[in-house]
Amino acid sequence: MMAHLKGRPVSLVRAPDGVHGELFFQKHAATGNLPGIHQLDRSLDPGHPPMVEVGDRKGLLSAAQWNVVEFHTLNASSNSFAHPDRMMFDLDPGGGVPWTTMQEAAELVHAFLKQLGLTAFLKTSGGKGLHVVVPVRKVHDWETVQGFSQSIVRHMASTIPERFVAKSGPKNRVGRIFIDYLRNRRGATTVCAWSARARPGLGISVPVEWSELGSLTAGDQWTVRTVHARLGQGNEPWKGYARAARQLTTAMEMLDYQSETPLPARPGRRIRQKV
Amino acid sequence: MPRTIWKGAISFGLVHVPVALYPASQEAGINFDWLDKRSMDPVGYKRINKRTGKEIEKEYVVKGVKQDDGDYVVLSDEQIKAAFPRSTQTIEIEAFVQSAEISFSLLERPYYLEPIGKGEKVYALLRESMLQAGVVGIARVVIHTKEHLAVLIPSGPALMLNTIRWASEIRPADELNLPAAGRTGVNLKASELKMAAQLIDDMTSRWDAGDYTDTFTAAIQKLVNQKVKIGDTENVTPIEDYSSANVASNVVDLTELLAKSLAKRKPSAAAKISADGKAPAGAAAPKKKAAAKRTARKRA
Repeated sequence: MMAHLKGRPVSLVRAPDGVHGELFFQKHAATGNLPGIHQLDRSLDPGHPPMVEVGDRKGLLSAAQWNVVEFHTLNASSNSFAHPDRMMFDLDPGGGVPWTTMQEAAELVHAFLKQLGLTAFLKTSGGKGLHVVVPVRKVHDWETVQGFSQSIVRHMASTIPERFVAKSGPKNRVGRIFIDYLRNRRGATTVCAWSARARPGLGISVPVEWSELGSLTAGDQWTVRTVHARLGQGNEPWKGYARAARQLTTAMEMLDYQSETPLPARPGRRIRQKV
Repeated sequence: MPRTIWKGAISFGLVHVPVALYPASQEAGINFDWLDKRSMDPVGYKRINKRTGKEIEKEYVVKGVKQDDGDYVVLSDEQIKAAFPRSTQTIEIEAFVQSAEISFSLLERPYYLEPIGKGEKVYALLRESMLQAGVVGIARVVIHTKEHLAVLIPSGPALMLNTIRWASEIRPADELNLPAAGRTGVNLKASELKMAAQLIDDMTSRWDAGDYTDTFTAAIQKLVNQKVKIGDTENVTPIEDYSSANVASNVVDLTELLAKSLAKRKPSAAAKISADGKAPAGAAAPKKKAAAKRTARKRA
């Protein structure tokens, strides 16, 4: 889990009264004295208390002591906050969407991203759905990544309107799937791989191979109770992640997407990627 | 408030009262959905051909009217539609009658009328004068492609419209064995009448509709709530209606569709080297496509 958590600002979902009780979504931990939990530079998110990151195993334990159930990470790392390093698509079934349709939808998103020259990785959400993660080179700003993710979703919805919708809201998506691109907004977070979910059953978000998609049975297939059987595979399904980050430029041209903000000067700026 | 059915006018003589028509009744009972008890899947109907027992597509279904000799006259949807009364959106008052003259058994479905435009005053005027005269209006009205006879009733601040059954819809009572009207038919004695009158008088009270509730619905609702509380609920996965889905329904076809959609775009993306103004992050993809076409035309 640390591989996914380290070096990223987190928001934490605390459930002091159990998952049926009141949940607290905490983005800025005011209590800064938990071992292993670091406060980040205030200038990253001006006007708010400093964001936090979980630095090591001790931090995980501190968080657990503090009734944290869910760990959500930002799409950017703490040391490169202005330039996200991944694009996130959250597939959440609307009413009347059978699981097989979810699997097909994920497969289609995967296929389309591949057509755009992007490599995508899959994980269960631990809740009802699936997350598709696209590693991105840290050269685009938040607006570009969000805007482009939106145009990907819109393009899919206009090409296959019987399967996808580009608008959220239960009314719009009866029997169809809304691919949530809003996880790509500045400051938006998504549940971290290997985090539990604060809902009955305590599902766990687990990285999986695309070839496993057909055999998945639910977004909360693995739970706190059953995840031990999966720990052996660990992050193996995502082994190419670090080398898969691409610049979005070519894909944006293919979709006719124009970002408002030009790329920073390209030469000489090789940025190393870490996961 | 529910949606208006239509906006129109009450009209009689030379008077027009602009109004909106709203339904005043609602379904409040319990809905029981059918489930397969083995798998908790929803249970539904299929349209079948009764001879072959096989399912039949909607497009093959036509409407027929059976004749006495067993033959059918088949009518197309267009022919049926053409026979619908034109929605006049007026409540045409044909007569005012004493309210006691309308038998309860004729009343069908209640609607509210709300004054619209500058109709408030004339609405109130009609309401108050009807109330004073103790009359209700008999009117013809078209609601949802069906012509109804209706009665216009002043009711508190509202004018209500209640559709009433046509006389032909009420079965005559003469087939039933009923004691003749009047006191003499079965020889009612004065003392018996007095006793009955006394009893009725004792039981007479003011009517308040709110005093009475549907005990069955309440009992079922209570039972349901109890079961929810102890977590005794079943998870039913709704079934997607695949009949409306496109023919291209497998992943391979759809993947191809996506690839084609990209291929279509490529030339325009290539032609577009210089940025034509801004395409904001929020702009819809189809819109952008249109914009690209426009630019191309300008250049040509």
